Amino acid sequence: MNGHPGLDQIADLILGLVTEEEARETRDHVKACDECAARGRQIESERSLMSKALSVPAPPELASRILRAVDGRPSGRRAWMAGVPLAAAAVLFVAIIATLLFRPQPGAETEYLLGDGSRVILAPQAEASLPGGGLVDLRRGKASFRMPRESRSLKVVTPIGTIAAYGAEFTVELRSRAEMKGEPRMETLLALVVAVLAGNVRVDAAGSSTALTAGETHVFTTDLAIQDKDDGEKGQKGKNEKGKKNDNDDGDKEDGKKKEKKGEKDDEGKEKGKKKDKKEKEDD
Amino acid sequence: MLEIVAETTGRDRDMALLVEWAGGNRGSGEALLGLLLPGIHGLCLRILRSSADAEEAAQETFARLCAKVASGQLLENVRTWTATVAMNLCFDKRRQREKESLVEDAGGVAAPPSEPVHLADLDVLRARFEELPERYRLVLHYSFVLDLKPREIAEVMGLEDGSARVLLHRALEALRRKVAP
Repeated sequence: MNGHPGLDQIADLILGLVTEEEARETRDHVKACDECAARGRQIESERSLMSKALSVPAPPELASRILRAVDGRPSGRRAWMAGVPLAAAAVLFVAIIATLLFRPQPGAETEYLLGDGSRVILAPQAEASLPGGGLVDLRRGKASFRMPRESRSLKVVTPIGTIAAYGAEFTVELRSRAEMKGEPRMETLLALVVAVLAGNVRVDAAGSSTALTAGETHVFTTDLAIQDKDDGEKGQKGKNEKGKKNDNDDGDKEDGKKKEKKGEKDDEGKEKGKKKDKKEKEDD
Repeated sequence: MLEIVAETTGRDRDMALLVEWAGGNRGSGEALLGLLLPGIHGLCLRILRSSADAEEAAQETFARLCAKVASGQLLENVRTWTATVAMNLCFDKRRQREKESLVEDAGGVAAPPSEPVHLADLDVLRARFEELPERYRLVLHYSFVLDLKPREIAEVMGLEDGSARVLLHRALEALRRKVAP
């Protein structure tokens, strides 16, 4: 190396920004040169200062809370028991599935973790059963699904349509007329709302198949809904139009959220498919 | 003599703990949690800016790690894996929150330049750091707190190696300009 390495080179070395060969060259020089060693020390102290400044201590009880929470989940128990023979794991899996046939407690959101890491979150008042084999039978209310990328496929069966997903994140909501008018007993299913946050899902409803991708929300209506709608608006919008919402009157707070999803498609895509898509962001 | 530790010290230890944990040693899993939690929780806090949300995201991240370990797949790099999961979870969470509140995200916008200060003042350094654009803050967090190498940062952020280096450089440069122009 001719003369001293530049300040940048020393900084790069300390930050691990250089290849091993480059590092060796600079390191050799710095070891032998008091001047550069002093500069290096300065950068090194800057680095430790940075670590100190940017580190945030985790709340003291967080670790134990996480451990407790993980212990409470099927996958958590399996994690601690990792290494159990496959047959035993299979028995365990069957046992987990058996516990998933349920009617959730009213008023509480209920979260279930399937054997492949997929999560099913049932909103309060939702009614569903999970017979296993990646099948979810949703009869009433709203459920969210979060599937890891390498999960098995999941099928959500509802009275209005069937949703097939693989490695996706989405919500499925059944709307009924009674719900809209506040009469919980007399329900007529009107619409199936599927909102996709990540990945792709396919919805089979009303005799046709619709593919939805991240950021899209689709409302599938029954014929009843179209007949019932006084201003005819839903009949036009509802049937098969992507990104539109069932604009009903009673100010359901979900409405605002879902309407925006379409516009956010690009963002979602970027962050989800980040391996490929984030490249362009490097220039800010 | 100046010791320049370009090598990341934690990787071998991470891996050893992960393997022991996968082999059924719960204590190793807990130790790994202890090692990773501060950096991951800090990352969540940085993105979400709410301690309740950050704790939830950190918890979720670790739950997913447990599920991963349970699935029998051995992770190549548990540090980048958890960082990636945490980052994506937090972005999702924040998006969800923004949809609910209809609040614009100011995270990507650089704050106006402030008065120059001396680097030695930790609080001021923190304050200036907070003024940086989010991507700069994240890349600095990855480098200085989670101790990720540029290659690993690239993996987490979905960038090419070179871009991660450039980003880290620019982030440091931007911070230096703020604290000592």
